[in-house]
Amino acid sequence: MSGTSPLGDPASGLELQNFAERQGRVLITTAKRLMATPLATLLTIAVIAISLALPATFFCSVISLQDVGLSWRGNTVVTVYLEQSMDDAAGAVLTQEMAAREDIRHANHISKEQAAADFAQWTGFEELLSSLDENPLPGAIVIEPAIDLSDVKAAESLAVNLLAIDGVESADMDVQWLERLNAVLRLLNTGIAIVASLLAIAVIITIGNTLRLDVQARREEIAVAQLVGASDNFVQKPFLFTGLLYGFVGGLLAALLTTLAIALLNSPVAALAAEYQSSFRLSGLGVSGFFALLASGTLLGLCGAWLTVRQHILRV
Amino acid sequence: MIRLHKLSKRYPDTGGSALSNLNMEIPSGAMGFVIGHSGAGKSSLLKLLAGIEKPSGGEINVAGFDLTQITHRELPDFRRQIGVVFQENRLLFDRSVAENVGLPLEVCHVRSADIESRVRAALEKVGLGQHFDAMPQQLSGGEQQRVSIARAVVNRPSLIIADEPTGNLDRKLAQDIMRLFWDFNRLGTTVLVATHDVDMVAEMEMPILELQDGQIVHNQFSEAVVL
Repeated sequence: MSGTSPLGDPASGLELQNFAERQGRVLITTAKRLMATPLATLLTIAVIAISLALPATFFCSVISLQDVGLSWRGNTVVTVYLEQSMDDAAGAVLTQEMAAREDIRHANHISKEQAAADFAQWTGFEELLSSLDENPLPGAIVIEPAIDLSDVKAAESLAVNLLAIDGVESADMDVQWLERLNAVLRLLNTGIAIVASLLAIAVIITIGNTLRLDVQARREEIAVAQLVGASDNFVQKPFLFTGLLYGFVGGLLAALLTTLAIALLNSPVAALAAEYQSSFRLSGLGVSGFFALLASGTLLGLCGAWLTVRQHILRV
Repeated sequence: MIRLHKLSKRYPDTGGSALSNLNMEIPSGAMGFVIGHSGAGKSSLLKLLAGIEKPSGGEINVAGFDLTQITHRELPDFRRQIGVVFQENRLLFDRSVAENVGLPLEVCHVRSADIESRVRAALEKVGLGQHFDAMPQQLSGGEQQRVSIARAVVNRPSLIIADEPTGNLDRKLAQDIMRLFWDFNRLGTTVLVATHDVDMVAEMEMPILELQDGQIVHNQFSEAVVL
């Protein structure tokens, strides 16, 4: 094997123009050869595109959910429920004391009446509440901590401190749902990484198998080229370009499929989000994602071609 | 140009010895024939000379390359120094005549414009200038063999090796092909032709190397007059 690049060596005494002309000639010949068998080419490209589009779509969805988590983390609050026996005046005083603490940025008192009104509005049980002799809901203090609640130890420390205050019945940290969401997202990310890796291997195998058959079909051409002095690089080049084109076009098609899939998913996602008073939408690939997908396809194509052609051409 | 010293070739699969203890030298600019019955070792010798196979023992030096020691990486450089013509011509039938003839230039990274002019010149030499754009299957057997000769000479090799190049052709076409080889030899190219056509050999009056059971039984190259 020659130690130079499989795509040729521009510094081997030949002019750059001659080098570019040769590469262009091989690329055009390769493209024409692929277009001569449109169905087989299309099927191979479709397999590559689907293999790339599937993890890309999942990845975009998970990234969107992560963005939601990140944006909500900043608004995380702790709701401190006061004892039922504590009246609103005492609750207001306690709120001022809490607001003065260093670990609390802001504290807002929810009186018993306001709690009842909010409950009635959210649940629609207004008549039920009014039928009761006494308001059963306690007062509450909504706290915006000065600490990051995703820091579990700091959150636990704050909870202990709050529960130790006289008149505090319980403290509900909204961070728990976020932790669960993050755990689910981590699980999904790992799953996507595994699926993406398996599909990447599938792309390499698909391209490898296609090119293996191509090498078999062109054995005589390879043998004759070698007999008239073709180097391994020269013989490998058309096959490497074939893999590169498969990967590049497959990546392009995958980007289109991913964009289409996200557009189709966004309609039911929007409807679902509306049920939770959210304007959540799945994000698309974006420019960087598009180029990343294109580069992934091209690299996988080149990789599959290189592995296969290197193995099979040396046997011809 | 060619030097063999105690050259031998064995095929492990068959267990037989195709060539044993060959010693000879062929000077630059010579032309002659390798003759012998079927199985005498003609094709094995030509495959060794073309670097298609490796010897089992001894030394073989062709066009300045030690083929006993040659590496896979050096092989293309060696093959660019020689032109090989096969009995079955080995043309690529999905490529035009010009593309077939231009292949040795393409592998040497010659510019497209230069390839075209040199291919035209080579085709003119073999009398097929008008078939530049034709496909091989549009040509007769003799014309196809001439295309393969044009492919062998287009890179201006110092040595042409031909293995039964007239085996499938009639007498008239075979003579035409031999005249072509002779023309190239007069321009300074060393030419070695393997054949079993004894009439042709007698007619051409050129040195012969006769093989029998893998051994040289007659070598006229040492007496040859080099042009």
